[in-house]
Amino acid sequence: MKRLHVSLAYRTSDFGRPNDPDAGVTLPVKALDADGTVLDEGSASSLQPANLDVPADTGMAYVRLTWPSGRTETQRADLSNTNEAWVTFSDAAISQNEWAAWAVPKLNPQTPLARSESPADRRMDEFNNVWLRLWRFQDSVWKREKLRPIDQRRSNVATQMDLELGHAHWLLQVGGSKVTWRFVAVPGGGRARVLITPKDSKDPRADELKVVVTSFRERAETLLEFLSRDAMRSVSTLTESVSFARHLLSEKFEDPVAAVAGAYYLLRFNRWDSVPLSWFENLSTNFAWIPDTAIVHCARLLRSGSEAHSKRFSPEALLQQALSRGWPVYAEGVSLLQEAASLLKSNSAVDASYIRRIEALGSATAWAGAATSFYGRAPDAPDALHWVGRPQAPRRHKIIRELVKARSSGQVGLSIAQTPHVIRGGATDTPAPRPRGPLLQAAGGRIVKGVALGEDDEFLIGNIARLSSL
Amino acid sequence: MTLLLNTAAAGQPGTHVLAIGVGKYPHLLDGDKKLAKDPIGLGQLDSPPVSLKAFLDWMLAPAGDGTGFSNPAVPLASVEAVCSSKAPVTIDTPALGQVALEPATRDNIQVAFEAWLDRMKSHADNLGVFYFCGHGVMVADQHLLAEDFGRTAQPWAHAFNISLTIRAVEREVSGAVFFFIDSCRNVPRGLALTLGADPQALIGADLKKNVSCQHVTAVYATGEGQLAFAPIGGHVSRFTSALLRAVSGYCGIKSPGEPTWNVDGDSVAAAIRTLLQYNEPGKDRQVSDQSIQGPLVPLLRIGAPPKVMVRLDLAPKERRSLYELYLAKGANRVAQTLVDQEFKVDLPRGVYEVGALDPHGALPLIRHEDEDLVPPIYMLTLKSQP
Repeated sequence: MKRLHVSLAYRTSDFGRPNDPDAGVTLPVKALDADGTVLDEGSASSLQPANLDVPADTGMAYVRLTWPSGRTETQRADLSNTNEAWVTFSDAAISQNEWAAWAVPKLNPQTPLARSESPADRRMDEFNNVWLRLWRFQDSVWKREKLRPIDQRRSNVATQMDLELGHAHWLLQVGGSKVTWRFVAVPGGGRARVLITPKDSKDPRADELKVVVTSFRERAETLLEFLSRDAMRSVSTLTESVSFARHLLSEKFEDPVAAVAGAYYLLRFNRWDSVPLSWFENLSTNFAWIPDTAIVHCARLLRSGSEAHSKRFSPEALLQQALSRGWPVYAEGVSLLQEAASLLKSNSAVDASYIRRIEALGSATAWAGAATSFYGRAPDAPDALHWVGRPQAPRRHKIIRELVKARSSGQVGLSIAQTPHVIRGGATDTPAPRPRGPLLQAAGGRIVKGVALGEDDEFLIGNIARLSSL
Repeated sequence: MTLLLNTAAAGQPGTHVLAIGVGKYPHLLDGDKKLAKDPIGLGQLDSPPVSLKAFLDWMLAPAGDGTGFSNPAVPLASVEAVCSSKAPVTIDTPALGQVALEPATRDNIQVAFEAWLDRMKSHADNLGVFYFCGHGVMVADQHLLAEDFGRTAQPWAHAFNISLTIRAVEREVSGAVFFFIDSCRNVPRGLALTLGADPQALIGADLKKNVSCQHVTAVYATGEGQLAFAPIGGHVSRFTSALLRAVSGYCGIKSPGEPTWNVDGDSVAAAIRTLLQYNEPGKDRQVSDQSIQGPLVPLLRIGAPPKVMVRLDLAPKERRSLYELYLAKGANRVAQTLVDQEFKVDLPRGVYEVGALDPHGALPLIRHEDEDLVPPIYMLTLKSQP
């Protein structure tokens, strides 16, 4: 056999967990012959190269790197007169802006971030009046929090901000006069980064702005990005074996968010029985601030049949528990919620409200890669209707007559499920609320605990100034 | 209801196909029976019978040269089909000659499904293929409409919940199953709810059972909330065209240690998506969707490497006729010389040198080494610098 050493010269974030071997960027690589036959495959990271073995008679080999976006990069390795060779893939030229390079592998290959700008590119200046809101799920209610970036960047085609988020479930809301209101989940429990860029796809479902999120759990997040695209071969290559997912799950007390990623992998690959059921139980019991932990536990029980159900842990109870904690952080969790809701509904005559809430979420789902994203005006009410405009003056982007009919006739619509309350953020970080007009209330504003949601200063994308150093 | 092939051997794994096409809806718009109370804007379809026939013809064709089903480890064992169409649909079969298909009523679909499921259960390593072409709606789950949809005051009694059917099948069989669902998913969910849409699955999910299925791939013609399309005039739908092209030698991976090029859920879904994107660049874009569960299992095992549709061009266009456009791999070289058009050629997948040269030597050589031609399509526009 001959050996190829494949390295990633990709920048590693300064914000991963200290001494975390999974903190480096990790991507699947394959060694091919000239006919495209796969000779070997593995995962290369910025901290550890992949060692690929190829047959002893290999002369020229080709090494292919795959991004979550599906884009590939291929390099040749001449093994004619040697038994080993080194190949390095670099991110030095993948983006015009060094700070935005992390997001490029998660975006469409045509993203303007990955090439020299052309006059045809949509620029962020068009979106200066797009507003952002941050929501936190706490004590069973969604509270609006002041958006306080601890770092922010901007170029002609992207803006980026870093946030320090506590152990809670967080949603970022984005909207504007031409930008459909939608929410994107941002993992809590540390620093998170959000990049916003004009759409890069001709998919009819694509929103005007793409939102990409990271919480600096590189390997786990890359795994989830591939899973969200059903790129199963890349997922297999990335994990190399079930052991990586087991490793993620076993580290739950150090990083429960990464453990959730491991659980998602095991469920998707029907390897849920490769770890003890108690691991799922511990995850859902000890990390209630992550809704996904109860979701993976619920899915695990449903997959293993009723023998695994107990009085303490039943799929129905776990499903309700998950919803009482907010929405899933990751899109994989939305799929599992839908699966669980569909199965439980079919096996029960009860038309439970929690089932309708899940159906509402499913009908309102938007795309943000691995992160959960959905349309709507309020975080507790995913809405199949698309809304645009300022927060104080929402209007429908697309009129769907039948949905309107469903509402006015008093029928149960998917988009009007009963959900937890919404209240405004704490007094420490917000101006005093002012009474709002009937339009705002009709549009989803609620009066909770006697406090009306106030019209206040919005965080606009235009607030993020270009820095001279960029 | 109509068994077109049954060569299952006892104790041997095989591939079992169930195909359903519904073009005639007597109780929907322009139908010839009493109109449903609310036909939800749906009418007759020309494409499903044609698409179904194309699918079955491909399935039943002798394997070879990228046509016909080929999987020596799990050979074709049974093919069952139902179809509703204005004109009867007949299929040429290898053993039975021409066979007319029975209509795709809800009852007939149920009987055909149960027979298919029984065959699937006959061996732990069996492989199943489920194909549907017709009307579909998306509520929380996806529902597919049988011919008799709207016949009674309970219109949804003549439809079925395919999402839940898939989840139930996962608990019934041990092998791998591939679902190809060629239908719209766009009917607003609110509308469907006003009708009380909650059709049954073809089999209920037994939650006492664990998930036993090794692998499930479901490829949908379009994303949730979107339309699927077919050319006007009774032609094969875009999705089925892309599916048949993909499995006719335009996708596949040869993994380490494998003697054949294998087509699995990952590769076929990706190829369909790419082909849809390439074939229909116009206004009504259609983007397929997929759901893959479990480790990958080959649907097809093919001896020859897959082909790549090459589309090589040169910019600016006025210089195209001054160049020879070429692709070379070892001693194999194909070229188009001094022709003012895109160079279109099919080539086996692999790593090629791609370029353009001026036969007269006046213009600079354009050369791209190590271009990885990945099926189903490779497109490149070479740039001739002024």
